Amino acid sequence: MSSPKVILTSSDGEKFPTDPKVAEKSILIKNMIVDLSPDGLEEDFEIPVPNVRATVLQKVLDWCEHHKNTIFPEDEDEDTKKTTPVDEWDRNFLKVDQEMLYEIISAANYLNIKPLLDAGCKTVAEMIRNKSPEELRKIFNIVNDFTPEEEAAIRRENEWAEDR
Amino acid sequence: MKRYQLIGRKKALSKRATPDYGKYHLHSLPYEILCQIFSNLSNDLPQLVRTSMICVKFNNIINKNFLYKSIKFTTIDKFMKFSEVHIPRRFGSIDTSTQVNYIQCMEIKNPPSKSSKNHETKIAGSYKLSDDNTQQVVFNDFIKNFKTVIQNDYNLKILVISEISPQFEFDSLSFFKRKSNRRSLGKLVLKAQTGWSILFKVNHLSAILEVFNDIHEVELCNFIIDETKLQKIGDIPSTSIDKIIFNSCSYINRPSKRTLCKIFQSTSSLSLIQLKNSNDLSLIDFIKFNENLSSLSIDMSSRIFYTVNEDGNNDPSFNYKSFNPFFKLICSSKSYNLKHLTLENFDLIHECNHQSLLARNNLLELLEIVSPLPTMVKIKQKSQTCTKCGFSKTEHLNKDWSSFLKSIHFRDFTISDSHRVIYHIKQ
Repeated sequence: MSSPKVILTSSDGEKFPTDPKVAEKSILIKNMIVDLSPDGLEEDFEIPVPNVRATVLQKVLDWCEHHKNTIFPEDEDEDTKKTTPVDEWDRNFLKVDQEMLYEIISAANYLNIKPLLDAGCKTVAEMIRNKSPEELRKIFNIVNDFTPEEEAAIRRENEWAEDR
Repeated sequence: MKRYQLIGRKKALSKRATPDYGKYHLHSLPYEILCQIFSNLSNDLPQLVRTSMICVKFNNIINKNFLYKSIKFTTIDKFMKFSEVHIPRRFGSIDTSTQVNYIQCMEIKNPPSKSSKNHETKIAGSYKLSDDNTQQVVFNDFIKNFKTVIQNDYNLKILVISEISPQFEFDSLSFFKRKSNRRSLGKLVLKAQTGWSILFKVNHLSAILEVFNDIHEVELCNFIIDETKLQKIGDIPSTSIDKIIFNSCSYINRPSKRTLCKIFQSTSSLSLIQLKNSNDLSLIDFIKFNENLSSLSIDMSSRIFYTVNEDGNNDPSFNYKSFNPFFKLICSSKSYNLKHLTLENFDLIHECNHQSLLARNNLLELLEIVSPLPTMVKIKQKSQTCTKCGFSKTEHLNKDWSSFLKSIHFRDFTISDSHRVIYHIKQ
């Protein structure tokens, strides 16, 4: 008899039978399993994931599968976290279009998968680095909603910080 | 019938339309995720500034959480440049920017000193410091702007003034300048200029005491505490300093008749870091005279506690002979109500035979001396390497302390912190 699975159901109804060890990379799912089956899974356990589309859930589960044996440091200080570069495998994994990247980040946030959320946020931060406001608006397709006067005022307000 | 308009005109008119970016767009990500993304840029301030100029939403997030949350003015020019834009003076009135209220931690390095003909510095000769009118103008402008910032920033929690020159001090205290509303400051740090130990004066605090009634914690780094001079200060506005940290401070001039020092009259917690001289332990007597001192922390790695062995090698041993009586005195004194004693950086591994964890008799004696304190004894340990043989122990430290303390006087305790060894001794 095969071991019981966690069945994750995406927002569009697709079911993903998943090994509990993989699914428990999500703290949300891990806590649900502990709360609802404190003695461990005896049969398949279905959990709806209403905020995540099937294609995104598949990507997130791929990440969980790859990292199922990875132990992420919990008590790293903020500075170490910021300066540690994104792992090579994660970097390639997150080479997706922007919409998919934000969906993965949102799913990681919802499912409480901190290392994936960190990697996603770092990837966006890397896309921002060394670019001007105009370049950034173009890359991220954001409209400049400042008036010319406001823009000039902001430039003036932050002058002291530029050579900090 | 009269009608009243209750909303600000300016705000009511300035609502701007935001384009619909769709659910999965950088602009649409939740506030906390955007904060996490921008936090990865927090070490790159020019990039943060550029990112804040993308749109209004990003500008608000970055200003509030990063650019203005913790500010370090490395030069006075930068502080003045900041003041020019953020606290403009128009027709005599001051209109501070919103950003001033975002500042939670502010550090000002090397504050300018007042012009004075008496200011001369003698180092291998006599050097007259520049004391022309320009210096006075810079000082006056700095004081005016500094006071405006601390008065108008209701979120300020930590204030650091570093690289303080021997000549620096604020104007004399004025009772009448303090506004009636109570204000609290979490932490104030004053650091003397590198290489200097400077005399601590009440005017190092005056401008701050004009604004804040309560300061939770004050840390003085490299100051000389002259008790006789501090006793002579006149009346000061009612101020409560809960905790004082003397970091590398020296104590001088015990008065023949001790009276209450008004600045520290309500201080209940004292921390001594990097003691340089055994005389500096008199700082305990100085503070405890207020009869409020209940918590004492001593940096046990200070060199005054150690003696060099007879064979002349650099293997310092804790000087139990001198300091066990000292601890006996502070732990048994009836003149004050000491409840918490923290022995910071006390290296058990060095002080014990780490193979069997049998303490030297003197350490046992020390621990027994501190054990009668009514509520708590904390023992923290930073170093886990034996300085004698290089033996390094990183695991089971709590277990070792537990078995060690259990075997002697400390039978009833709980371990409350997994990263540091802390013991609460129950009644």
